[in-house]
Amino acid sequence: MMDMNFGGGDVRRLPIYLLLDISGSMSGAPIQAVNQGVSLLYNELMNDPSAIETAYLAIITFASEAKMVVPLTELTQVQIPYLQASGSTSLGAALGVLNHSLDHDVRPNSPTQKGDYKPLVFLMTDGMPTDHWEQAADAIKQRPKQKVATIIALGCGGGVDVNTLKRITEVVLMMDNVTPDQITQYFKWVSQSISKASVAINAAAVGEAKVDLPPPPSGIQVVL
Amino acid sequence: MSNVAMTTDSGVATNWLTLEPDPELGDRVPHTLTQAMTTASGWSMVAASRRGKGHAHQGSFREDSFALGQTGPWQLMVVADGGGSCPLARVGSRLAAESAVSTIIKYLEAAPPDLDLAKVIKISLQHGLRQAWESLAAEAEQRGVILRDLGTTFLGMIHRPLDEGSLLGVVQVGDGLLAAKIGDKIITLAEPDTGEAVGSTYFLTSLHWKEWLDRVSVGTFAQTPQMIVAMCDGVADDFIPYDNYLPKLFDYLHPLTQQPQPETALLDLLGYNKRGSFDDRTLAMLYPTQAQPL
Repeated sequence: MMDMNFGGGDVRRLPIYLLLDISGSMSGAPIQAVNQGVSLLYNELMNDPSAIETAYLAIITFASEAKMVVPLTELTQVQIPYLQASGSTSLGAALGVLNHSLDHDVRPNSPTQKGDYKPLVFLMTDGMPTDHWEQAADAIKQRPKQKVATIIALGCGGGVDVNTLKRITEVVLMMDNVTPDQITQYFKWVSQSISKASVAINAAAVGEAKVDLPPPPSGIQVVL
Repeated sequence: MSNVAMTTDSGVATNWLTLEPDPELGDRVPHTLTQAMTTASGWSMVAASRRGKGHAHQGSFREDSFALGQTGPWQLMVVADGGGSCPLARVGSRLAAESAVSTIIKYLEAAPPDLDLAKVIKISLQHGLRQAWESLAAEAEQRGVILRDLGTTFLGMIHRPLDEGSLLGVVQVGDGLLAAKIGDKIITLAEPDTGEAVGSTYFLTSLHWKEWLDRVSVGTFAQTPQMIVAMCDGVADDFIPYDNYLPKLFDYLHPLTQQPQPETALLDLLGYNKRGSFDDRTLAMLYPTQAQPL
């Protein structure tokens, strides 16, 4: 097999963003489960050659402030952080960080550049935002078509207002009973979703360019 | 854990599997397909298609296809990429390519001798396109499935050498690339469909066949082309941006024309390793048999 690798800049990347709520209410078992879930997700993706070649991972956490703890990084180079929970729920700030990264870190398709695949964003939160989030939510939802991302929002427990998540994305999931096992199952599902997207990236026809997500695990409902 | 061993130096993953499709599955497709044809008018057509690493890893079939044809002074090539989201993609691409080529040959042979050649090309390609669509519709009906299940792209080309230069008709629905090298220039021959998101495209089945007819275009080249190529996006995508990389593709292809079995050499070439490139790969090329130096 000959090598036809014409320079490093022309591989289409599949940007993956994890937006994780690490506010005080996630303390204890939930944040432990999130840490384990992120590690599990990473290890699953590292078993998937299409994800290894195309997926780039970013992790944005939000509590009293939002931080991009892992900038958009080639999968094999990612260092998984250890997350600790405390503080409030600055969802708006996290959406601002996401929006900025989608603008600056994702390469659009153009006649002179091989653009990235449509980014996948997995947002996970267990409470109501404590900052001014509405403007950032609208900015995310109103992104121009060429720069749009697929956002999947998961609300964990009864403290989440579905309408908040619906203002960000049409794809909203709810986990009613937040247990470590459910969180683990969720991250397994995220891994399956990414694997499916990374191998089926040339699959869709215009007008049906949605990511074909696998059915969520039991205990997690799709909110229509 | 160490990640070093997960990729080669060029970023290609080392854990790709090569799996066979379920033996119970019908509509079986060989993992590779090649064909070579030397025409009476001194031109050669060579094509190859191979299953991508993505399908091999999943144990699924190749979904690209192609068909070549010739009659009298005419040469024709069709390549088709069955949609990955369509359950019968492999059936759709083969049916579209083969039915179009056989219909185009009939129309070329039946064309009145006094009819303008450009019109002959245009009408024949339009009939080929229509037949491809109608064959898919008939197949869908016979199987009791929706037309979209057989979704495929469609890139067709008819060529006729003239005393000086060439006459060429093309049509493209969906992504992939039709291109030619003429003199020092490399030109793309049709506009690929790309959707609002990378990786989304149109299929022949996305609209009624009538909607595609005005995509057929016919042109004359004053100079004889050195090579005309039709390829699915599994190859074309690796040469984006075309301005930078398409010349390299022709540099790779030209030596194959000197090989005793160019179709096998092309199939081997299409086995190149490139990071992020794991789709099926299909390319058809047409060139004067006494290939001119590029």
